[in-house]
Amino acid sequence: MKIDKAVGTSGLAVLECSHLVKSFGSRKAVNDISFQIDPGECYGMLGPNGAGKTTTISIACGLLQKDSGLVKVNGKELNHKSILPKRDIGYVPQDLALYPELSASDNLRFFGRLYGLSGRELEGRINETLETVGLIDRRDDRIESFSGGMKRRANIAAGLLHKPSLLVLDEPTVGVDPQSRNAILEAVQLLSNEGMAVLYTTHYMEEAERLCDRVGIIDKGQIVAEGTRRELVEQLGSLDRIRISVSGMHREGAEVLRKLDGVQEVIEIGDEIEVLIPQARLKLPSVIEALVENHLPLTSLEVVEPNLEAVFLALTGRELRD
Amino acid sequence: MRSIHALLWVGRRRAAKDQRLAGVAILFPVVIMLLVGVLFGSNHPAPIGVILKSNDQITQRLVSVLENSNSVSLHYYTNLPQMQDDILRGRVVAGVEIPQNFMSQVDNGKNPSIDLIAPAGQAPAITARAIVTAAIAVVSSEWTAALQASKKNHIPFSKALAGAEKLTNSAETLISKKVTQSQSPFSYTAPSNLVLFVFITLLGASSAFVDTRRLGVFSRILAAPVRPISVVIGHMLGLFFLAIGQCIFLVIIGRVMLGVNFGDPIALTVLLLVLSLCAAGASTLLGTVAKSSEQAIAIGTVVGISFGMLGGCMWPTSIVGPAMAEFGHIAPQAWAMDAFVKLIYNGAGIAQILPDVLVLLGFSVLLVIISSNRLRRVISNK
Repeated sequence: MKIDKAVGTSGLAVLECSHLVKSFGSRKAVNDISFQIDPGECYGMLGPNGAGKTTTISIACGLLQKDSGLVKVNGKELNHKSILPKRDIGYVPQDLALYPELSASDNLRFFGRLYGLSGRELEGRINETLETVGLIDRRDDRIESFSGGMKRRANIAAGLLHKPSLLVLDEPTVGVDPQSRNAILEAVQLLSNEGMAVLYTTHYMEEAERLCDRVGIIDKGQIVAEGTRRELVEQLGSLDRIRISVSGMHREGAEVLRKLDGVQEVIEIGDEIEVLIPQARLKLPSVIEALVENHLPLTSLEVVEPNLEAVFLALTGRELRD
Repeated sequence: MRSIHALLWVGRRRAAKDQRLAGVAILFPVVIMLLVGVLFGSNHPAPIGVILKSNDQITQRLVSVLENSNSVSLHYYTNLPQMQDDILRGRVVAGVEIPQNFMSQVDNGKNPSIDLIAPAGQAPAITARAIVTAAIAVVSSEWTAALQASKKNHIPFSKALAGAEKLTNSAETLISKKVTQSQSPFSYTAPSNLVLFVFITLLGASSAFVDTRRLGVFSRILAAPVRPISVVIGHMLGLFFLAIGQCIFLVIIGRVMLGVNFGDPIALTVLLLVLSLCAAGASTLLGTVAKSSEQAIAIGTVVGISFGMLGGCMWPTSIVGPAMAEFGHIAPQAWAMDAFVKLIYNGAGIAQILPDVLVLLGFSVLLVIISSNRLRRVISNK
């Protein structure tokens, strides 16, 4: 779980996005999104593929021009005319944005030069950054010789090199093995604990729960809910959920379950039934008994305690990985 | 400036690691220069078959002119089928048959025909045909001049003919000496392969740009405090320096190893600068158009070779006919080759090649404007 730490001590937001709007043709990819991140805060942007996460952070990093809205980094406005605030941002794109034929150190040398680093300072930062992501032993090896997870870590190193006050990571663990994924999450957690503001987009609920102080749930270009994990979960109330599959007979199953004692609500989601009930584990025997008595073929049953995935499902009617 | 330096630095590092680039930019052009130069540019005479059905004075003179030529060697045949067979097998590049009673037919005011057998469209046969035609022209002028002199000055015809032959021989010696002293057999192949491979290399280098684009490196670069115009300048300067480096290397190889005299150094420098700019513009344009690196390499190779053919990099435009030679000037390579030919063969200076350089500069400016606009749009996701 997330380590408690002081957040927002300076009073000045590292990143402030207000009323961002961006359309591609007739489709609104980002529709009036506002959020801010304080120093030392890890802000998670949670949403399924195509929800508008990458478009939002591309605008926040000055890579994409917004149709309207305002982006401020450490109080300075970022737009196509004023690019200096970019110095405070470390961007880690979803793509492996490195030269595969060059070594890790050469890649970092190049990106460091773009930020005005040179000489001993640059070489020192290269070593420190590679140490942080656990690649110091491979500093002179070509990126193309790295495993998928190592490439991702090198990708993060390039974003950290110039000691930004805001680190923006766009789904950094997609397609990564569990070991490397853990290493990446630990590194991000460490940086956040050291005071770096982090904007982290993901569609993995468990990553957002582990890393983020606050989470913005994004769907169809809008932030549909925002807050700490506790605040978001509390939106669902204190009820547990039992998710049930009865093959091909979910309508009949829902009717039976609605009549059970203690059941607050029954929701049909696709071929599944979700039952909102207090103390779900104690009620499981009566639920199973009711289904069996009515000759409903139970194929799966799961007790879901309140979490961000459940919040997302309740807010959007869709699963994160839809 | 900081970001432009960084982009130039990374371009150099990537080029140094690219073994394909070393092959295309350095090894291939040198090997092809040597091969083409040795095969077609050397002073080895082209073998020509000859059938003599006469043995009169005019026939002997014609044979003597051909034998004295440095460009052909004669192989004598007694029957036509044997000579035709050897032409087909490439033992001789062409054949000449001098008819019976050649001199008496001329004396009687007839137009006797000399049969020239040469395969169509083959460069050595075309050369042989030109040399035989020139030899006939020489002999017929001597003959005409001797007849005139004999009648006008009342001297014996044989004496007049000997005088005309002496005059022709001394003129031929002068021309032959001048040509052999100043021209290396690689004088055409060196600049033509330079032009051809500068374009092929730079068009091929666009594949690296496509890779960079697809990997998302440009997005990351623009996430730094870097303006898109700096990326455009850095990228194009990198390509320009790559082309300049290749040009300098190939000129040095041509001069030192192959003995090619590229002429006026100032004019040559200006030509190489404009040529490199043009190739950098073409490469950037292809890099912004191609959807994959494979597509960039495929298009680059086809465009580089076909425009090289049109522009006289594979053979001189003088052998393809005036219309085709004119059409070939849609390729910038043609203007570059025109300038090189003037520098190397005519001893031209900057003033003489200025029209060619200006047209090439026009191509360059057009390509640079279009490609830099496209590049800016591509990297900015606009």
